[in-house]
Amino acid sequence: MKRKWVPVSFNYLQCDEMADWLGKMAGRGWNFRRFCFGFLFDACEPEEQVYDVQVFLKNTENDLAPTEDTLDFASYCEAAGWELVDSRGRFVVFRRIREDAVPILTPQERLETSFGAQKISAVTGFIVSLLILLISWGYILLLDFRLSHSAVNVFNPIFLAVGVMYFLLLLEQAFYLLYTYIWHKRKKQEIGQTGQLNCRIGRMGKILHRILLCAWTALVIWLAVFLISNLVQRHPSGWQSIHFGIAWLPLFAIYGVKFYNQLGRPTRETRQRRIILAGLFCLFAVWFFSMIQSVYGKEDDSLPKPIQEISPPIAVTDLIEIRDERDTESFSTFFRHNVLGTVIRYEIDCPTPGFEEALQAWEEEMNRPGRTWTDEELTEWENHPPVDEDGVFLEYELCKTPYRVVADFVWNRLVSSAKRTSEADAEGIRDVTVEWNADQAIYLEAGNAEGGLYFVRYILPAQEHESEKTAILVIGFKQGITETLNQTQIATFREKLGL
Amino acid sequence: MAREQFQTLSEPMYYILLALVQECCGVDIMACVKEISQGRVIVGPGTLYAMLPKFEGSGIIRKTRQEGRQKWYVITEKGRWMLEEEYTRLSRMMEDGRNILRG
Repeated sequence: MKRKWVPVSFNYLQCDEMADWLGKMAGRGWNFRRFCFGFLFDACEPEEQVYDVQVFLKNTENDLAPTEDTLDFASYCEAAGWELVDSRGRFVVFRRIREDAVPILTPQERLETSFGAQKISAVTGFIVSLLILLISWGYILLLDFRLSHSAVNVFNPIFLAVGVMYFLLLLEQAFYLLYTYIWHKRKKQEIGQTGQLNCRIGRMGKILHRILLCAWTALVIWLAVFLISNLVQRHPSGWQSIHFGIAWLPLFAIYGVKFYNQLGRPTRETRQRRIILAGLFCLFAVWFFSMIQSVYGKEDDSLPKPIQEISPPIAVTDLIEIRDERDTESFSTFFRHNVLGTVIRYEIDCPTPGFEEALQAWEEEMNRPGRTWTDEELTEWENHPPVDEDGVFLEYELCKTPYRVVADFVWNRLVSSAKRTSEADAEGIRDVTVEWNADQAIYLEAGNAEGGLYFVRYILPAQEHESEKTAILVIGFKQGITETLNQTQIATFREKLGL
Repeated sequence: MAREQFQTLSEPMYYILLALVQECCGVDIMACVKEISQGRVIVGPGTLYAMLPKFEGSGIIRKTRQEGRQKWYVITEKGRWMLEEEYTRLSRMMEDGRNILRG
């Protein structure tokens, strides 16, 4: 038999629209068969059919087929002249089988069921969008600075794009919720005046509904394309892509299970079992990818190759003299760029010759097969790893942004987070603006004799093809360099970074 | 108590209870109501489906038997008392109306 699939979506305020549309399809020779990510029709002789679409509040959004309660309800409706066709979520579709079929619900009852279902849907969407926005931006705004003393994620294009998208989704959900209440009020007046309910939405409601559908669909497709394209092209942000893949894996898994459920239409219990299994699969996948990354993903390949191969503008040897034979070229680089600005960060490790071997030997001894440890021995061993007393560790990060408000935000978050995590008291915080000849500069003693942190801010004047920018330099050194930089070292930084 | 929730019975409620003075299958109540009211009162299946569990939960009616999806109900003593009360109230209203309107 010829079948037709139509991916149309209606909301709970559009029951009469859906019923009319199904009737028109029947008139064109398409008989509604069942829901399936839209509507599935069977070819038939064109005939006049009357449909009635009800909202059944006992069902949930996850009910993909008629439940026992739906079938009970349908038995009453059948006695009244309505045959159950199918149900999905809270929608229940009936076809009239007798000319004298009695209306299933009164207009007032229909209004309350439609409004009730749509309100649940809109409030749920609003809360979910709000939570997603708070979690994603909450991480950047609250936690990230404290953990890393870095503004890398503020200038991450993915974070920004996704954050803006989440905000727009939240805004749209809010409008949709407001529209639902306005619709209810207007329809109540309509029933009062005419005694009838026309369960449809106006132009504004349709626009909001379509924007919502497009936004969610676009978000999922964009993320899928981004992830797959980065992995296929072996883009330098490969590991970053995998991280986002992991973050979105639960969403893909759940939607994948929902899609599969749409085809089989299992019972509520079977469906819940599948969702739980999908969740467990996601946990396993996250663990699996984390294992892979911990073994193979030591280096950050987030940069385009040319940037990765360029040595940091300031090396350790620019600041201090290294007299022994050691690798002074070992560094990691992070680069991010979005509409808010750019950030580039260097981390340079200069261990003492032989230290890495000593560290490796220490780890091997701890994990040597056949070696047995008492709890006390193991704790003692773990608490006394080799210490590289002559090692040098330097990291510095330069952000540039044309927006003063972004610069202020980054500056305030960096400094306040560092003050909170540092053990420096008031004497350990110094204003070094004069030494750096900067707009603002602060030195912070790090705790546990781990060197210090510099936060330096400059206003870079506008140039021929560039607007005025604010530059924020963060320097952190753990040891090997004197606790504070001298004038020569400061001059080196300024000269080599163009400040 | 049931009386607080159903302080005043609406017309559909009143006729459903009337129909359940005799044991009746849930799906047949609509036809009974239509017959009792001589076609004046129509109770929709959705209204009936929503109302029967509420009546049962309030002890106004009780289920007597069930065969598959078909359930039979009958009014309880409590329900009958409510019905009598409502009938008395409506009768007084009618009497008062007659006194005024018919002189």
